[in-house]
Amino acid sequence: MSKKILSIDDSKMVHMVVTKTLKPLGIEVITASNGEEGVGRAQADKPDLILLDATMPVMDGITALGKLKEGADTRAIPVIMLSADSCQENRDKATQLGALKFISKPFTADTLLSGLKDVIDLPVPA
Amino acid sequence: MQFISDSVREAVIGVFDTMLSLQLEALEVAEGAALPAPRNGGIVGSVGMAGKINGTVYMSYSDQLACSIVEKMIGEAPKGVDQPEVTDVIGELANMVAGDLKRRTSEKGYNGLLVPPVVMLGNGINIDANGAPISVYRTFRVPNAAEPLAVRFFAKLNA
Repeated sequence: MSKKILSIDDSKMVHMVVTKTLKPLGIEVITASNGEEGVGRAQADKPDLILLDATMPVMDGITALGKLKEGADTRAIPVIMLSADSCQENRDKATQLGALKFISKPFTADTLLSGLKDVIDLPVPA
Repeated sequence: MQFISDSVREAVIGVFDTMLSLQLEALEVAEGAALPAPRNGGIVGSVGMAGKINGTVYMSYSDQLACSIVEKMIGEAPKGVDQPEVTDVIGELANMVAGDLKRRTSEKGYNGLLVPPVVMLGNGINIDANGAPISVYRTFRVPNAAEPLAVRFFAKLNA
């Protein structure tokens, strides 16, 4: 069965780069544009993994991460932070709340794939 | 000041190389009172930070430069500089540059919170240092573009 990844970011550019990188591997990418919408999509769609930005309007990524890890139906979903705000304080906070990895923006396709492979099984490209 | 100026250069060059495979060349640099006045028109992506460092980074593009960068990013030319895909890309590039700058200043003990990007376009945009103790202006040549990218960073370090 193909994997489903939820990208939570207020930038369509980031969604586009993530989709362009993962779609050729047969991975479905669904998106949300802020933390609040993202928590809702995670509850409804049960993705295999969440890519989560830190700085977003409405609800920031750290708050959303806390809500995801509190929710009985979302706490087991692995979360990778994907953020431009990659200072050590943010990394530590994200790790304490349960994020498995922190990928800094800007990122290359290789960096993203390598980060994902550390967390979930990815299909081998044809 | 030199550390901040160097950080601006490294952040801008790194973001454009990683996200767009564009090798920018650093051109003009000015600091303090020597900052040139911004020209009218175009589009500006800005991101603020607040905390041990208070400041804002402004990245100014001509309409043509902004559209060519967005075309390189998404693979098709936007219909105009006021299209949502343009403001999105210009905002996110400013966010990445500000994030990189913040990481570098936080390593020196000056951390702050980043705010989501703000994008402004049209005539009459006035970017002023407003007495900020740190003010850096840098321009960058973008391959195949007629006009340079101009970046301003105004900041204050708090004890």
